[in-house]
Amino acid sequence: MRIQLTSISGFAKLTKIKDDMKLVETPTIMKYTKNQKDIFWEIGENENLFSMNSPPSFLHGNITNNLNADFIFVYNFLMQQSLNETVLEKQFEKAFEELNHLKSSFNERSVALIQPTSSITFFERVLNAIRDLQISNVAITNLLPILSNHRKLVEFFTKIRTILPIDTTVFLLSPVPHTFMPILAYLGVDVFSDEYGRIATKQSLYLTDSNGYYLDELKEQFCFCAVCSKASTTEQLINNLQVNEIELEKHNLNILLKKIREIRAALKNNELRSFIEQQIQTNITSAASLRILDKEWSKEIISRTPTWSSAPIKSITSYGYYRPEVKEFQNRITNRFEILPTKKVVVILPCSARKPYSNSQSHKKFIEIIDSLGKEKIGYIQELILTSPLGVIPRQLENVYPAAHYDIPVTGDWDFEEKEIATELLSRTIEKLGSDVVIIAHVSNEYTDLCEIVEKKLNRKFIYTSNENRTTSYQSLQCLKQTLETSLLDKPPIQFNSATEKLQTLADYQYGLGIGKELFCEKYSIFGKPRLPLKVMKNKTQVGVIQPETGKLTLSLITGKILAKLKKYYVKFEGETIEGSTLFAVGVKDADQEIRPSDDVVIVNEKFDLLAVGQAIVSGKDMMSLSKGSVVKIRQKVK
Amino acid sequence: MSRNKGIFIDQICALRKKSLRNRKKREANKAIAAWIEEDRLISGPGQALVIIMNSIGCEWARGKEGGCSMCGYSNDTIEDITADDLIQQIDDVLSRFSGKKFQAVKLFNSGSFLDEKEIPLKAQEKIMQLINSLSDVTEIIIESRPEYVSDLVLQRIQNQLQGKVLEIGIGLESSNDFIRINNINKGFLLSDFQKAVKIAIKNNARVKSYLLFKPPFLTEKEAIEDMIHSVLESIKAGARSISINPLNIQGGTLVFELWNNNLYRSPWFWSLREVLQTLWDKIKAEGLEKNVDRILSDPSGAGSNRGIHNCKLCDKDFIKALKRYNLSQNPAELNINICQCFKLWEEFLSYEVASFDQSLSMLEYGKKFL
Repeated sequence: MRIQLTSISGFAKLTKIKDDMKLVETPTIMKYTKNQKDIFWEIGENENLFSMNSPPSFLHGNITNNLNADFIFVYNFLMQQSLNETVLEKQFEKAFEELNHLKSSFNERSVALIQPTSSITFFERVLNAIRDLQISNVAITNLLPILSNHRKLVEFFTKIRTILPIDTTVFLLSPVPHTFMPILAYLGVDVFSDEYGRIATKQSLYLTDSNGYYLDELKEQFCFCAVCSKASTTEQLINNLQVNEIELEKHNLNILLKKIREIRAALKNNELRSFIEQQIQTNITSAASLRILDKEWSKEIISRTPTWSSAPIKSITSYGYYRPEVKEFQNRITNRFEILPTKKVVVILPCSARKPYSNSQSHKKFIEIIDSLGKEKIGYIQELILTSPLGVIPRQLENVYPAAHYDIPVTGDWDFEEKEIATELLSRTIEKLGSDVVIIAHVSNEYTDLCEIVEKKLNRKFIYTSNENRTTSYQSLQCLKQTLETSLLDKPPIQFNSATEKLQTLADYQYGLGIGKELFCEKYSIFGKPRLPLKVMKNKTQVGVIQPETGKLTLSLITGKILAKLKKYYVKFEGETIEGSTLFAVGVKDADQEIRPSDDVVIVNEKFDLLAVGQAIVSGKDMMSLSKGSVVKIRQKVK
Repeated sequence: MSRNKGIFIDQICALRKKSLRNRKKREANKAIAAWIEEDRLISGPGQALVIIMNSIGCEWARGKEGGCSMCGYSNDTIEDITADDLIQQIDDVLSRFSGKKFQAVKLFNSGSFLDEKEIPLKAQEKIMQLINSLSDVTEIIIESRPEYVSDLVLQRIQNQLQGKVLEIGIGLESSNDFIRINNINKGFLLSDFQKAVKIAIKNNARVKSYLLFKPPFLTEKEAIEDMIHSVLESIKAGARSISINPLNIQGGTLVFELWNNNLYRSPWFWSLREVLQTLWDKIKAEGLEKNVDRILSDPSGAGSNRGIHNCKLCDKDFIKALKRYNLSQNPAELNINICQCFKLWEEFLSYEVASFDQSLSMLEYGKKFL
């Protein structure tokens, strides 16, 4: 049996559990079943199921004899919430000693049973022991008492996901309603028990996607699964299900299964976060948990959220403001973007619904005006687009994820948090500019308010060029043009290569401030047709590619070599020559902690000589803590 | 006598200290409670006078061992009390109930009646004399831990009683040493109980084995199996009366802490029914019928969240059925109509084994979790 990690999103992941005969993808479901002798688990959704025995009672010795199962419980830790630390510690000492003797027998089939406990330091001790003993899986029980306590819930799972290696499979044995499954999946549960569906059935509860009704309270039939479609009226459905419990159970289990599949599909489409934001709307604890997770554990979540994606982001509720991708974009604009000293005019522009912005009607007009200043002057101008919830987007980065991928319901009303975010980001971006730099705010309506806040904050005057609250009116555009011309009147002609500047800004965004100048120290051009990879050319040699769907610059051996010498985004390989198209965790000696899933990285040897370039599957931190599995997809190797 | 320390002893001690500090002040010369109840006596159905005495409480709970994980009776005790106070308690109750008819007296003192530190010799003797003078009474039941059951002590008691049956209730709780020592923190072994029974029988006293139904940290299924086993072991040891005591939640105990965190649920009536019905079949199968007079269960807090319960719909029926069973000793009395909660109980029984989840009771009204 092998467990293969495919992709990762926050604390959630997509994996394949495989052996010669069977394949089960997680997140998935499991159910308990009985034969004459035992009660055991079946994991998966179809016929090819993996088995797991039932956990040992702490009374009857802990190591179980049933070795026929695929997953085998090796321990049931005494850690009940009501027990005090002295009692727990004493028992734990004994347990650890016992387990340490058996360490060599633990493998990827081993499972430890854990549960919420009263002391967080004790919980950390247990998790550290599980990691050190190389027990590859954990099963959780007694979760219900903390299920409606969002703080405890988030802390519990965050500890599991930050202490145990990311490829640890987390089984949740406590029966949780399907309405909790999305947030629990996001917190890191890989396999859910379907028991809630069975328990609901015993209570004549008819589950729906986001709720449940007692059969005698069901007003309408709104499910047409194989079970429900047998009835032609609501009354008939209720009657059928009241007399036939097996049918009701089938329906309820369908609802649970559907939720699991939605989660898995969202993971596959790289849309889990958007799916979670939708799903929390019907479950208060889920909503509170997401908020806590975003505010208190954002660093941990961000480090495991892919930097690059092509999935659209619909930012509808305030939860969207704290999305890991959004936060990280803001971090990078703050830390990895600086307005170049050659820029003497900054133009602040409003965002547009159409992305990238330069494809929109309004931005086409703005660009036309700016271009009309002529080649010798454009190099002095930095465009900044003001938006929610990303804050500020420099024109050079308008194609990167998530700048080109987000959408919000634009009504012109900015709420307090949105204003805070946008003004804070704008202030940070322009606060270091010299007094000789002219700041033009070509904005209207609510954008004007934002700019005024920043003017006050920085004690600096902006020039407003939009009249009558319409930025695209002829008058406004002419005013913008005249202001630009006046501001740049006495400036001598300046060399400007838009492609080079864009590449440098992008490389800074990807790898850190200053890296762009090192990677692209000459003159470059970017060629390409719509939707095809854009070729980055130096004279006639291709030195890289920009993925059109994500905006990411992929490394070539040429740029990779430079990055390797700068010791940035490197994965140090244990050895000299790499075989195959995958780098495995066992081969990793060291990795840059800044690496996040989907980042382009360089694989280097001990002396930081480039061996290959590729795309990270997991974060740099996870590369170090994993003991097996693929960590980098290799694209090109040094011959 | 063995005094084994269970794994929860530190926490139990800490909890006990706290609850002893906070116990209610009471008058030393007044019994805590007394009442007459219908009961299955050794001689058959009859009336029993129950007296809950105020005393300094169980030595096991007062001492460094902290007492048992489920026992909160030490809350109903007093720090200082004299032999005269104890005698006065009984005197007072007997005069209050002098006009009433009863054939048995049950004395409970939240500890061991036979422990001289709890009930001084003088009081032990005088109380027995007082009861002995009641001509209608044929049975006297006292309670004690096994370590206080000795020839000397029993002879002294028996000397005060003429022609009345003495029965000593001993809380074996479980016949499984691991469970008794660790889950319950009872301290003694099955062999200690067996020894005490022998001494009692030798001194013409009978033993009632008090068993705890569903000690903490057991699944409901394990609890059922443990109870069946414990009853059979008690009978084999020589106890002719069995009292099955479904755990009820008492303040200041370890079990209270678990219950308060939704990690313990008192047993289901369905489980008790399963125990009693399986039990009588087994007793017959093993030919033990002649060795047992009665298997009783008179649960405290029945039908409430803190005691044995099923669901709101069938609790009352079960309480009545259990009364009928106690009097008739016929387990068929427990065949009440199957309620909807029966299927849920069956489901939980298996699922608890599969998951070791002890908070399933939170899903008894599953809709509220959605």
